[in-house]
Amino acid sequence: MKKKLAVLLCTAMAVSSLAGCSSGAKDPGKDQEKTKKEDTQDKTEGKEDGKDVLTLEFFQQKSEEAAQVGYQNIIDKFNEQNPDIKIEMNTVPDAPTVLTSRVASGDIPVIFTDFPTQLQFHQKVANGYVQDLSEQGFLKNVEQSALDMTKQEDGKYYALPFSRNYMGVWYNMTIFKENNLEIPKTWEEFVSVCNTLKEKGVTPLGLHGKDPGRVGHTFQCCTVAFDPEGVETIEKTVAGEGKIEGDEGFQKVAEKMLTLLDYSNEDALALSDMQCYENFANGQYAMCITGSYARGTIMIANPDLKLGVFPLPNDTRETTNTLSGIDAAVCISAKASEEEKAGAYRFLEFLAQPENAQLFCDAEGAPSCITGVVHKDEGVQPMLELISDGQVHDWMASTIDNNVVTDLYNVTQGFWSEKNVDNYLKQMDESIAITSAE
Amino acid sequence: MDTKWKKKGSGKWIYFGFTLIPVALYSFFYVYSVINGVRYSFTDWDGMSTTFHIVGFKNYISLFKNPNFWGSLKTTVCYSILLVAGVVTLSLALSLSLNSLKKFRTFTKSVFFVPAMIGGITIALIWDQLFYRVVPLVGQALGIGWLSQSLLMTGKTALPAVVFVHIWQAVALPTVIFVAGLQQIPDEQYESAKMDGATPFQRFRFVTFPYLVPTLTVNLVLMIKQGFTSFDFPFALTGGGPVRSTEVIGILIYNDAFKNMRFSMANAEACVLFLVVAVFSLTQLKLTSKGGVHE
Repeated sequence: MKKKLAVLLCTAMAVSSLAGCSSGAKDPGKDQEKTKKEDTQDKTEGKEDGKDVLTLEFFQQKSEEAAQVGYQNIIDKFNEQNPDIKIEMNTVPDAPTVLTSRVASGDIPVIFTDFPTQLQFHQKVANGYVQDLSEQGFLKNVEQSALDMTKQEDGKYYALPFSRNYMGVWYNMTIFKENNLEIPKTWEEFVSVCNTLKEKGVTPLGLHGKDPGRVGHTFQCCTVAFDPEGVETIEKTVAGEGKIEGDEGFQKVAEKMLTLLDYSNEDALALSDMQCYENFANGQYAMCITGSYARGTIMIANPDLKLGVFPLPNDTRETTNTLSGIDAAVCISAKASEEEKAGAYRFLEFLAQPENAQLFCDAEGAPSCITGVVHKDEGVQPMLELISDGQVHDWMASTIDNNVVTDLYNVTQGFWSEKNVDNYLKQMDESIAITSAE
Repeated sequence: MDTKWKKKGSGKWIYFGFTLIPVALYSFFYVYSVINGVRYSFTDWDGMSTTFHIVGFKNYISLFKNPNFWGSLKTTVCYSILLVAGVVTLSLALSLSLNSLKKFRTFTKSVFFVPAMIGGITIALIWDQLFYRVVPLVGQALGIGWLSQSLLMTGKTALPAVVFVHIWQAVALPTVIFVAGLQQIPDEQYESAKMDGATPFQRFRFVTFPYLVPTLTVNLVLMIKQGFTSFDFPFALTGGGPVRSTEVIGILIYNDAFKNMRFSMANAEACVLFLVVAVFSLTQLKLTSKGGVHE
């Protein structure tokens, strides 16, 4: 009798588990509907003035605390002024990967930030995942140069460009003051600053080369700074129309990169980004080449640090370009319901108002794409001047396949350890030949 | 007689019934995904497009033409060999000495088991700091050139350094399995061997080792699988660098799937990896199934 019962229970459990599986496998839509219904139930729970509150997810990709504070300030203000909508910020680790998998599985956040100049974004647009914003009035608040960068292949705009990023030379103002140093505007001045610091026993430059991805950012920064045509040369090589070996521009890039290595910490290849920022924040290096994304982390390592940034200079100010792209652009899912889209438009319109964008800029410190926002940090001015003069170049992945770019990172890491210019240029050609063939 | 048979039979069915749930879960979460993965490896799916095309063996062909893939495969094989050799010898030595302990055996065993209870990424981050801050100091104090800088810095030392950290964590479980194996060996065997005048080495070779072969098989399979599918340690310690010297296939797959948006290519890589692991595991099963005491 007992055994019969056991058999019965076993089969019951097995069947129920199978049933659970198959319902999940066959009709994921049903489950989604269910959760949606539950969601709306949740939403209606928070009734105010007899109206239903619409909860919208805002998936943003910045892991830095400063950026989250910036967004939260705007969201709090928005939620207060718009009782019928509730924006909820969602921040996850490794956000780009999470967003990709969510998009792939059809679970696109209603509002999300993305990088509209990257090829990955073009793919999302081509597959119809992103809502067209071209007709929206709030795009008029965006600086024209930022808007131009985000125009997609069909000539339409699918994102609200919100802030810019850039690569530059961050410097410790106190060390510069102690040694009576001025911000260098040309390569020659930069080298003489490094020499002075070296004579005084200060390591001029902190570089971090352990992670190929971070080496890559310095590589991109150097390419754009030292060879105005550098990225285009790589593009030509990818298309099979040129070669990097024997290219004068890249010869210069490589040689100048070697000079940078000469003035930097000896353990550059052992240093991770975090360790480098920590050392720099605590005064071990006078300067550090990294992106605007590092600012928050550096300031957390030493809140009293007086931090400034200037563009990595080329031979003259006129030939200097800085690597700068759209860091955060806010998009709406094309798969959202009309009601959700309407709410999302209102939030984007709110974001695009100068006084609200100012809140973000104050907290996060990156240059805004919204006209009328003033950057209050004086240390960033040399960089902002170059950007507003239009001497900028976008990141490589906006025109070159990511696969090609990331392999060049590895090649550059090898160059940092080998320090052989001729080999480096040859290896870049070989790398591109392999990765562009696929 | 009849009732006895019935009893036996129905018992069997009950046991079989218990396997139904795991089998169902396994087929849904594992078999289904594997079949799907193999299917995607024959397409040009980029990871998010709504449509894709069947492209046959195109992914595999370009994979076999890609020197980076072969480099990564070689790194993975080196990694696994180092890991298996390191873990098996170390855990065997550890278990033999643990087994001969008269006092504090359980306590010592649990001390050695601690690393196995810490997550891989945590261990990698701890060792990352040790390699950067502590190890070079030791090297300088001892005057050893290659140890005076971070081991993760050069292509030659990075792979052994990563494997070392992996061994440090992975050695615990095989040790416990070996200890369990050792405790099954009947004492009479040792006594009679002693009476026949066997040396300690001979006792190990002709008594201990044959009894340990089944346990060894289990440990080898576990370690080969861990070696080939390793991802967390190299990813957290070096990110695959310097210059691809620690880019195991796991990292290659991750980069292709999520960074380069080539899901189908990543799936093809995973399929090849599966075949390699299968070949290695089957070969070693075949090798260790000969000889040894199988009860």
